[in-house]
Amino acid sequence: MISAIFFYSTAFVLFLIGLFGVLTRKNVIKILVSFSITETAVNLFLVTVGYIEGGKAPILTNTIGSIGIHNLKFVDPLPQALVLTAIVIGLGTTALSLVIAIKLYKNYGTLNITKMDGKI
Amino acid sequence: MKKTEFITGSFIALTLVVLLGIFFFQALFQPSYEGKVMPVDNVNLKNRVSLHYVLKNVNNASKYLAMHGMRYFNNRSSVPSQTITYGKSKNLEEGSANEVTSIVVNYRGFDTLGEVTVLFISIIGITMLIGGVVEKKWIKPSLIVRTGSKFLFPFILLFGVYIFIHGHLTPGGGFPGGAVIASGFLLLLLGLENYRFNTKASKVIESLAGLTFVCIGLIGLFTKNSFLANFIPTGTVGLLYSAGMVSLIYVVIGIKVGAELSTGVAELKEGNKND
Amino acid sequence: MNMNYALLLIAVPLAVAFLQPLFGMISKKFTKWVTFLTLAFNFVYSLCLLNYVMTNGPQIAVIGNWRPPFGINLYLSALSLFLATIIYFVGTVVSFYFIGIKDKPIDDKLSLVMLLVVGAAGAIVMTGDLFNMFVFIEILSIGTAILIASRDKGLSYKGALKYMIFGSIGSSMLLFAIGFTYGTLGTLNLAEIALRFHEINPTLASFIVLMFTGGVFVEAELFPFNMWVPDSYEGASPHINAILSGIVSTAGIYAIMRVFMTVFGINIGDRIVIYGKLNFNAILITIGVITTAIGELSALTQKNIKKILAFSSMAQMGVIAFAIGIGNQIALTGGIFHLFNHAISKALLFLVAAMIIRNIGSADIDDMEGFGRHNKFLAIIFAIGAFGIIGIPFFNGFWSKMYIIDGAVMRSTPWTYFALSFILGAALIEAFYYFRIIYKMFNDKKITAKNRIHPFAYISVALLAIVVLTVGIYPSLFSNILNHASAGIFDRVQYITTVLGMGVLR
Repeated sequence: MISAIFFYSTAFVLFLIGLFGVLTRKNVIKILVSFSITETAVNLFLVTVGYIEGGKAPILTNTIGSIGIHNLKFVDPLPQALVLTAIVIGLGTTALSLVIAIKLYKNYGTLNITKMDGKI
Repeated sequence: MKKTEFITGSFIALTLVVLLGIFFFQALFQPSYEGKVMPVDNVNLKNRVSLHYVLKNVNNASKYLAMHGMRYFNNRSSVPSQTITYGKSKNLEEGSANEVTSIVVNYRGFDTLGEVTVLFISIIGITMLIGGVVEKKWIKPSLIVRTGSKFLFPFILLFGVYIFIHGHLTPGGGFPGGAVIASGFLLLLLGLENYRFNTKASKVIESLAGLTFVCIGLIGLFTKNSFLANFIPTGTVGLLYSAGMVSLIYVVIGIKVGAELSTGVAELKEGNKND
Repeated sequence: MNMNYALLLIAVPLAVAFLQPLFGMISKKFTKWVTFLTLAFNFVYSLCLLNYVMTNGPQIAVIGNWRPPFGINLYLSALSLFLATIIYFVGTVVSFYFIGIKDKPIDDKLSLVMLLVVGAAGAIVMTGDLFNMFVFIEILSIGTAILIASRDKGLSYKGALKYMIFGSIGSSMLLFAIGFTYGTLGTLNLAEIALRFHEINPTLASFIVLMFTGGVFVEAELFPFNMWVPDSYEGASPHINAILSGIVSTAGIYAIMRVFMTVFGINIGDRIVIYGKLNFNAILITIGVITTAIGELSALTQKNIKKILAFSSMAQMGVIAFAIGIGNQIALTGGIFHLFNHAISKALLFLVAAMIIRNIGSADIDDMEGFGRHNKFLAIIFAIGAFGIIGIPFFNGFWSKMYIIDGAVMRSTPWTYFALSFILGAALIEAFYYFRIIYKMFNDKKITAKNRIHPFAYISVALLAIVVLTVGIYPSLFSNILNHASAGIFDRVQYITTVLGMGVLR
């Protein structure tokens, strides 16, 4: 079994990579890719928060049979619900940013944000 | 000159990022005698509010909290609960077999309303901003692609519908189902030359589905005195006709998301011509 | 009165927004009217609720019949409903103004997005759940980015992208904070977090606070996260700026006040629990001073009226952060009062600026020379709004700044005095550049008008000017509400017992 520390570390290191990318890249598309990395990192982090060692997917099925207070076999479902919401929000943000990037390219003829400065 | 600027910027960013990382790991590995820390390997559902979502005893827990006060927070597991058996337990407060769905749509349904709105507003933004940028670079699809997409489309649609109808029983739900439906339309848009997506009809469907979601909430408000309250019997866990309004809402969400994403994909391909 | 019906404040704008595409097929003009009427309904209804809350104390509205802390709830106090009322009022006025401007093909979508932004801002100030707040912050930021981009110029896309960059990084950080809070305490309800936040390890707590900062400082235009302000404000249409300045930043400041002070309890009785010996109040004061200084100094150098107003807006946010950082009740009353004044006056200034820009076809203040001779009414209204922001005696900003100064003097630590001198100096700079604009306007020079202004625009700015004047002449109009509001921020026990029930402290 891999310790949850591994996932936490991976998630945060991914977040930092994404943050570094957003801070240093000049190309709009690369910035948006960095965003997606941070979003993935956050989702990974949230899923890890809900991870319980030996837990099953939180769905009651025929094979699991029954669940009660002395018989908890599930991982925490609430972070998964949060991730579901966060993914959809990430989709919306990314799609809109990409459209804005397309329009920027149409207006400036470049995707490099330093070359856009000084032009209207 | 440019080069040094870039290096300085990168260095500052790197310092910031490393500092943030150090802070993160410091926060994660604190000794627990100074106060509660984040449990890493010994996570227990019994310390969390989702225990009641899993056991479907939220109403008991509210009563217990009102009775015992602060003591509740240290022993959430002493709230009375019953064992839930698949296919047998009836008329629980919430009949969904998929616990994630029961949280997404019922216990925290208001978040989902917001989530649907996020998707709605971003697709509206895309349709608003994309106008006039589309360039036609069309590679004529081959015979196999044309026939295949026509053949596969109804099955993809069916699969999407299956996913959102069974959202309260199996993994999936309105959002994945809607995405699958949209992928079917994407296939048609890419595979068929003369296919025209009916943006107007999909907009109508989308609007009415969104309105239905809010109306389901409002029915709860007017009949059960609380927005998004369940007003349909919850049935037996594990059956298709169970979970009250959860399945209803997921059908609505599935239709809405399917229509929305299809509109978005079609607008990206065809441009905003229908307005 | 069943408080659960307060959900209509959020449900009605959402339902109407979902229907707007259908209305748009009938007529674009109709959608603008629908937006206006919905927001007017929200304004009236929130006023009724505010009246009820003032007599009966804070209430909660429960969603889905799940009692907090298990379900999502709305917390309806004097503060949240007061701010909601401001937000809906500004929204109503701006949407009324929006009816008057020339029709464009995207107007149906624009009025939809406007409705959702105002509705989401209203939801942020009322919600009692951390993750729910995040969802509505996202609606707000995506909607705002669309509004900024809607002017369809290169600069507006640049502004929108900048806003999106900051907003997305902020929201990722906010989600980290939410994950840590949930992982440690096992809850997302603000009242339960408030009850048990002291149990958290101090270092972890400060990390949560730091991460939370990223999420809300973007919206509140505070220092490290406000680099988007100049480009976005310059790129957007001026009447959109009225929404940005009057509504979005109000919601952001609310999130800071509620979460940092009531929930994290950073401020109670000067008990500072933040990392090491760092004093969070001092940090907030410093951030406020830096924001104000940057804002006022940048505004001084600008020629574009939109940018001047944008930097001024940033500076006012700094003043409010300063007031929050002082952390006694008088200063906080002043802060909330200033938030109100800023929302009204800045909306007024931006709308007047929009009309002037439309009339003379330029946003440069040099081109506005002589505008006061050409159109006395608008110039006087602009002067009223500017006086309100500067804080000329017997205008609204004067009273709120007096409150803040009073609170700062009462706190009387060396650092507070030092910061206060900065804030006052900044106010002088502010007075200078506003007077410069007004002086230029009343200069004797002939200018030619290009476009006609719709009467609706005149009505909406006149309405805002009346509010500014009324509050200035009769400042005790809201004093009861303001006292309740600022007391509610400090009264954690009231917040917890209202949400979780009286039995929780047993």
